[in-house]
Amino acid sequence: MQFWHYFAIRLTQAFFVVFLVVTIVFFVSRLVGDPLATLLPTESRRAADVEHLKETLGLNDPLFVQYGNFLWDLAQGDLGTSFRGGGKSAIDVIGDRALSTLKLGAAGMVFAIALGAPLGIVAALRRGRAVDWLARFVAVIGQATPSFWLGLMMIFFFSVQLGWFPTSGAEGFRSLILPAVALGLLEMVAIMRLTRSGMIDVLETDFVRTARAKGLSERVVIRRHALRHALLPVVTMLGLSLGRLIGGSVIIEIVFAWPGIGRLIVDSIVQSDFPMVQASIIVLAASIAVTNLLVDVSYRLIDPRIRAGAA
Amino acid sequence: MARPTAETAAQAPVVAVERRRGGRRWRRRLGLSVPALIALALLVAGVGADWLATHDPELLNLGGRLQPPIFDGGSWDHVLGTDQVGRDIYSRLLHGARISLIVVGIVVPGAALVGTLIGLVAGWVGGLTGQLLMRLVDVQLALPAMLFAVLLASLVGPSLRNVIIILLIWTWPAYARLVRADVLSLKERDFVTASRAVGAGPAWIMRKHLFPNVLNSIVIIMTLEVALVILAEAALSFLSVGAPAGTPSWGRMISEGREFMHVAWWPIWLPGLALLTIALTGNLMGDWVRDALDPRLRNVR
Repeated sequence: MQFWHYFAIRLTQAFFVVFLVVTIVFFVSRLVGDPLATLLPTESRRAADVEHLKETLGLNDPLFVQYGNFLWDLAQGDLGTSFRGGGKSAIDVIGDRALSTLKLGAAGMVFAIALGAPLGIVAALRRGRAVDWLARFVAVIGQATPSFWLGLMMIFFFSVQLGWFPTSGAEGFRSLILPAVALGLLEMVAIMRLTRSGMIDVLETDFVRTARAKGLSERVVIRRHALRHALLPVVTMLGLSLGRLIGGSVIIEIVFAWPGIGRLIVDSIVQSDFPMVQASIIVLAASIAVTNLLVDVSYRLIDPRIRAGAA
Repeated sequence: MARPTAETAAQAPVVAVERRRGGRRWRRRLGLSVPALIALALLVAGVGADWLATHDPELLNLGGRLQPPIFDGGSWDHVLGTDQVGRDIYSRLLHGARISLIVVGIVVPGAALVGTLIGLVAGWVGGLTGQLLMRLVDVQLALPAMLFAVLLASLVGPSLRNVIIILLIWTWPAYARLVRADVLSLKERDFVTASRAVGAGPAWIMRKHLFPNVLNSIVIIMTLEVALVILAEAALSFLSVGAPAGTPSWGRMISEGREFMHVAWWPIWLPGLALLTIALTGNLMGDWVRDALDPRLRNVR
């Protein structure tokens, strides 16, 4: 019963966060910008056009009425209509793009975990040895490397010079590798460091010493006793990682011309397609909020000792 | 940093610090002095850009485009070569350092101030106010700052002022989270209870008891945030939502040199390496400060 109570509270919080994001995006865009200025350049403006546009976009209504209509449409799953492309509904355009971004984010995550966790474990087991130094070196450099610059460098070496990968686009598995590495590097470093320090701590605990003392093989001690404990904080961090990956994918999508939602947003801005920008940002924010919610909830299921408190 | 761990870490008893052995002292000193020297160099470069630069950083010279640096067959006239429109890269790098310094100088203290105040209030008052303030932190986590930056820039145009505003919005929650977690555990401690018992008001307790106790954490995050802010500014400039076109920001230089990548390596390598070096320096100093002040926060980032 207590779990459902907690779940309900977290759900309400997540909902509230998405609502705040929607509100902020709505008011910031309405108060700071003028959709008419971007749609109709002043020099070629005709009064009739302006009136017509104002009427169709509902800009004649007071701001709060517009906000109410916006929320009402949103509640029915209508995220507005794109200014371009023959008035397609924004949600249709976003669908494919969001899938693309998700694919990139997931690939980045797989890279980060597949390389970060084993490297962290090995570094901890061989503490102070060459592997450990190498891992820490990679971590220090990786943390300081701008992801967009790394992306460009990789395109230069692996695509232009060596011709191993396509320079851009999303055609097949090979085109996924470079952007996934550029995107996942920071998270890889974070996972590596967390695994390493967790592992080092756990190897000094009493229960590991006991396990060794009763004659278990080192393999069993590591796998059955140490690893499970050391990876717990890593699991917690993964949710935040996913959020950061989705956010970070904007710049990587630009570098690699990846047809995801981040590039959609930047393209829409260039074309002054405002409903599209708004809808994309809302979809992204909502998906990150849902991820965070799922992680918090699942963490409570995995480890009942955690009382998430009032945070 | 995940929320549950942040809280448990902050409430955990202070673990005895593993004392460093004497033989490692030199390494510790070296570990600080090298980054400190680089940081000093950045400061000199940024402050003295006007005197140290050999050319006007925005002066075009279409006749002398893409001249290589001196160590790759170039001339002393342009030590680090010229970019795709013939501007002197050495002079641009120096002025780029100045832009980074300005951004860091405003954003880091500003975000620390805002984040600390909000964290103090949210932790001390708790209840509905605390909840609301913490949801603001969540909004920042759910709304990717990069997107917000793009949105804002599309509406009001790219400018350095907007970059600073965006980075402030981006970075304050880190302070708020940590300060709140610290305050939550501090307010149960005896010395705070005692202070309340003799009639101290909330403002007094915050100023005299809570703030001095969270100061270490704040300083640690501030040092660690320097690299983050520099890289973020570069990323925004790279996306053309930061410093306006032509400005010698390092991120801008990389994005402008991008199309000539296959002809000339220096226009994107040099600013990239500058960024990497500075970010590395910031992180190393941050680690050093953290180890010196509070080793409990090893996993804070």
